[in-house]
Amino acid sequence: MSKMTSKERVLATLQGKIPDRVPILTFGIDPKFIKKLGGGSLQKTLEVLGLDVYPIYCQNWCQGVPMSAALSTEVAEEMQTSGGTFGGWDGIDEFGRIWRRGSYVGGVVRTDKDIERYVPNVKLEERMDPVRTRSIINKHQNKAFSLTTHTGPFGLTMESIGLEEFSYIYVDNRTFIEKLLWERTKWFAEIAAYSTELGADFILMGDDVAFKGRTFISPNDFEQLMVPCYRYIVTRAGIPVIWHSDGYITPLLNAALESGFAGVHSLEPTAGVDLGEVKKNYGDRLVLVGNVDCGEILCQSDLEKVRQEVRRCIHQAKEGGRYILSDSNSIHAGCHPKAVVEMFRYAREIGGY
Amino acid sequence: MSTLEQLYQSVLRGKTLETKEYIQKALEENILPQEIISKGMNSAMEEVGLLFSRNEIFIPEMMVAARAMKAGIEILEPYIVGNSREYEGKIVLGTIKDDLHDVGKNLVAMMFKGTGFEVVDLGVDVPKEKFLESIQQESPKLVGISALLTTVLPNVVEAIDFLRRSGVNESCKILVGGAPVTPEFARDAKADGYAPDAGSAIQIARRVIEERVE
Repeated sequence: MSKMTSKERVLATLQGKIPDRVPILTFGIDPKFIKKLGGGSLQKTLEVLGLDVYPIYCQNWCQGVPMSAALSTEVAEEMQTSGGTFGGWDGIDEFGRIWRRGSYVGGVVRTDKDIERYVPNVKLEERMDPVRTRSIINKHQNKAFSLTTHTGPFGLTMESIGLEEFSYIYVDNRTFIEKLLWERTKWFAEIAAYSTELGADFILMGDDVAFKGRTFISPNDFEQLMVPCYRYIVTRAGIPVIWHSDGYITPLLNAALESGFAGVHSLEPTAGVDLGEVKKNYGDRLVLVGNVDCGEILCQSDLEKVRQEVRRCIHQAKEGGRYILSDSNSIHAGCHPKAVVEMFRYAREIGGY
Repeated sequence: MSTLEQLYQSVLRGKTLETKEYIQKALEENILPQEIISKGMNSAMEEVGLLFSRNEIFIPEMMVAARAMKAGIEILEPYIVGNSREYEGKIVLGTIKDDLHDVGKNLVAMMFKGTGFEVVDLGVDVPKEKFLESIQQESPKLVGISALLTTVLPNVVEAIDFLRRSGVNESCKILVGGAPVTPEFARDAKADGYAPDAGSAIQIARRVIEERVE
């Protein structure tokens, strides 16, 4: 098969066709990792990794400080924790989530007035910078572009209330949860639709609904609550939507199909997701993305272990297409640069069809 | 159904108002507070833990059960004279240094409190010295170290090594848990036990305590 461009490869995979090789992407790269690998340059980091998918980011703010503050020299190094991509965030963000030194610690939304306050204005142009986004897409026409953001409705609803309070309100006053969920759904759908207008090829929507070994709410509840929300987002987006969630989401894959998702990401092996089983049961209808363990394998420097992990994933999921190799969550600050580089290099080497 | 059985059901189903009503009723029937706690409430929370471990109930159901339990204990505390409340044991809990996440730890704390353990919660970002200080002050049967970030796992290893070298061995068992924690990690770090979730933490804690007694 003749060599495809990254864009052709990814689009073929999303359409259920066989590409020239397994595409590769990541859901997110921690700023500390970008500093280690790319000297602080996201562009250089993406080039070094040789990814098929480049991200379109959606800017968020915490008390006026933008998400990208972690790459800024204006935010002191000690304020930038290894907790995620939000170094420098301290206080209550525009969604009502509480941050301390870059780590999420709770939420403040409790009332209808809080919903009005903490479902922020979409401010599409300010968030998405259309001129810059279109320029980057035009400069890299052989790459696939995805809106890559972790502001899906369920996770944001739960985080903006806080897990404990969310649980109480979920049982005592479900209507409030449903109201906030719909506001968050409509918000996200507008962002998704705008990214399509700017030239995104697909959406990679982060919405955590599970953790190790279990889902936050029962699969039955999840289906009733979230399928209508997700269907709305998929319809408004108009392009394929891949759903990212941490944790054990295997019981929710029927709901993912009902929602119209093109695929699912992270497929976290240490949370209990078995890539082989998922491929067997859903591989003809969902694009599977992820499963390379970023909790241990990508945090150490024995490259043969990395190659072994890549071989396992490709062996389990490559057949018939509909597989994109990726880390099982993100390239976080604890990842070893050599391991991550080798993961993607080796996947390119052995992932041919 | 007896009052204690009704109380058990109200805690199990997370019905806080009913829990309070049945506790009042139990007191009017002159049932001893400790019996109300152990048969009407601790046993319900044990069942909650088991159901949670088996994925038959989920986070919200577990949280509201713990809320009902907590509300019940608040009513009963004035009836427990001095410090005569009988605890199964004491556990010191904390999220390791450089990690600010407390959700998992708080769930575990709720389950331990709900099933009759005394809990000393050190909070988050806890350095190894503070774990040791608390162990020396509180003489717990267990210490639980929680971690949510992969990047802080070396701190967990360091803390366990520090506690061992400081003499924390048979007198106090060390449990670890959290999203990036695996049984292999726990074994390599020389912890005494590993809890995959809040629901199974109690059974695992009891097992390692029994190993200590033996």
